[in-house]
Amino acid sequence: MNVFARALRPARPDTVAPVPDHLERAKAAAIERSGWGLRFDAFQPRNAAFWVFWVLVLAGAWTAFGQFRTVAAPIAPTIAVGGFVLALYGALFWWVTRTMDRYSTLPAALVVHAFVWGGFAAPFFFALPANDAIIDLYGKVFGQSWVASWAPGLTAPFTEELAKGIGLVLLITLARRIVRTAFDAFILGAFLGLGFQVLEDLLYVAQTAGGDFGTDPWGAGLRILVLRMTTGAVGHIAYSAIFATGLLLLIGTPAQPRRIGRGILLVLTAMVLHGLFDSVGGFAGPHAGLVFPILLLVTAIALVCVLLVFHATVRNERDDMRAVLAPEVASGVLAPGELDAVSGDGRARRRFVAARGRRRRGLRRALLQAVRELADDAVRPDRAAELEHARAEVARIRARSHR
Amino acid sequence: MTTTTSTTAHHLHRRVPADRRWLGLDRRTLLPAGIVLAVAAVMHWVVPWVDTLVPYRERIEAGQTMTLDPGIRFAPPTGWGITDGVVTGDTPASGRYPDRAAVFSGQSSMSFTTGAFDGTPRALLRQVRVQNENRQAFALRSEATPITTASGIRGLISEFRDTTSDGAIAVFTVDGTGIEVVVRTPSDTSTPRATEIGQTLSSITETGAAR
Repeated sequence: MNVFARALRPARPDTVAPVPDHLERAKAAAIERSGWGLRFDAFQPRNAAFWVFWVLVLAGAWTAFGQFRTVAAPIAPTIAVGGFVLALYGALFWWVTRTMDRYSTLPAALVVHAFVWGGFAAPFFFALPANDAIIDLYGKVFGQSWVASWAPGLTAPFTEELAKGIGLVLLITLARRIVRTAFDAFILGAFLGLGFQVLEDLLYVAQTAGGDFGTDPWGAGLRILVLRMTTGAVGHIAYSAIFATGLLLLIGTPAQPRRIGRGILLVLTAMVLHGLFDSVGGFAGPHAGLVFPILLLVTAIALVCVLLVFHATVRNERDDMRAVLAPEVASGVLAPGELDAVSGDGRARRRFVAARGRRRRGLRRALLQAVRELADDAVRPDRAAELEHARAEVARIRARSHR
Repeated sequence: MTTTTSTTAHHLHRRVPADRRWLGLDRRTLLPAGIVLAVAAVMHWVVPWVDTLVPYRERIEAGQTMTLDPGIRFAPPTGWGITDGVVTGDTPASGRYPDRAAVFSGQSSMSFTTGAFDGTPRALLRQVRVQNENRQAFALRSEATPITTASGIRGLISEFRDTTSDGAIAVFTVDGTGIEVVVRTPSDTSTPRATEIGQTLSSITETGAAR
C-alpha cells in the first residue's frame, strides 16, 4: 500500500490496541538518544559553562554598546530604523529555522542562548578584536595593497566561524542531554549565525551611515542594509550551521559517534564558503560587473552545501519521530499515512495535505500540526493529560477533514 | 502525581554529586568552559598583543605618492611608515584605491579620509566638527585658517589639543569630493617635522579621476 492510499485509510481512535513491547522500547531509545522533550534549565550555577557564557555575552554586549555609542549619536534615527528592519529580518529567519527544526524540536530557551551568543559574545568579544589585529598584521607582513584585496576573505572565515562555533561547546555543556545529534548542532549553528548576522548588519549600518562625513546617513545606511540582507540570506546562518555540525562530529556525543574526517570536512567547508564570499571583490578584480554574478554563484554553492548537510543530518530526526509515534499507530490512534507524512520530508507532507482536495488543505495541515503536538506530548512522561487531549484533538481534526 | 515525580527526577538529575565538584562547580564542565575561556583570551587579548609587537615595515620611498579614491593624490614625507592605504600604482585587486590612508613617524601621524561632499570647506569643517562632538572625539579649539595646496585646492585647518598630543584637522573640497586630514603630533614637535607635515598637506592634488 503506497503512502497516498495509507493516508486515506481512516484510523480508529475508539479501538485502542495493545502496543508491542519492541515499539515502546524503540520509542524510549529514540527519546534517550535525542533528548527530545527534556527541559533546559537556564540557571545552572554549578555549571562552569553557565558563568563563562554569561560573562562573555555581557562583555560582548558592553563592547557592542561602546561601539554603537561612538558612531551612533549623529545617526540614531538611521540605526533605529535599521534595527527595526533587521528585527523583522531576524524574525523571518527565526521562523524559517524553527520550521526546519520540526521533528525533535529544541527548547526555545536554548536557541535563544545560541542567538544571544552569536549576537554579542561572538562578534564583539571574539571576532572584532581578532579581525582588526590580524588584518593589521597582514598589512605589516604582506603590505596594504594585499590587505585591501584579500585580507577580509582570509580573516573572517577563521575568526568569525570559530567565534560563533565555540558557542556550541558551551551550549553542549549547558544541555548535555539535549544537544546530542548532528541535527541539533545544525539548528543551534543556524541560530548562532542568525544572531551574528543581525548584529553585524546593524554595526555595518552604523559605520556606513557615518560615511561621506555623515552627509547622507539614510541613503548610505539603507543601501548597506539592503545589500547585507539580500547577500546575507545564505551567509552566516548557513556557514555556522555547517561549521557547528562539523564541530559536533569532531566532539562526539553519546548519540553521535565521533567522525573526525567528516567533522573536519564540514568545518573547512564552512570556512571556505565564508572566505569565497568575502573575497568576491578580489575575484572580480577591476571588472565591477562580475561582482554580482560571482556573488550569486558563491551563494548558490553555499545553498547547495547547507541543504546537503540538512538532508544528511535530518534523517535521524525523522527516524526518531517515527519511533516516538509508532506506538500511536499500533494502538490505532494514528493512521500509518499520518505517521509517514509527519515523519517524512516536504514532498510527503505536501502529498498528505493535498490528498483530500484543495478545500481540505487547511484542515490537513492542522491535522499534521496536531500529530506533531501529540509527539511532543508523547515524549514527556509528565504530560499524560496533555497526551490524551492531543489524541482527542487528532481524532477531532481528522473527523473534520474526512467530512 | 506524575508531573511531581517527573519534576523531582529532573531536579535530582541536575544535582551535581558532592564528590564531583570543584569549588562548587561540576568538574565535568570545567574543561569545556576552560577551552572557551582560553579561545576568548587568545582572540581578545593575545592576537592584538602580538600585533603590537610587530612593527610596520612598509615605508614611503623617495618620490612615492599615495592615492585615495576617487583620484586624490598626496606625497607623504619620505621614510614615514604606512599603516593604512596604498602607494600610487600598487592598486588593489578591485582596481579601486581605498578611501583611507594613514602614515606615521614616531609619535606623529597623518590620516586621510575622502568622501562625497558637495559644499565648501567651511561646510565640511562644520560637518566634521559636529561628528566629532557627537562622538566625543577631540574638540577643535582654534578658529579655522584658510589654506591652499600647491595645486590650488582650497581648504581650512583648525587645531585641537588634548592631554597627550597636539593636532589639527584640515579639510579640502574639490569637484564633489571632501578630504579630511587628521594630524597628530607630540606637544614638542620640532620645526622640521612640522615642515614635513605642511609639505604633505600642500602636496594634495586631484588626478582627474571621475567619482
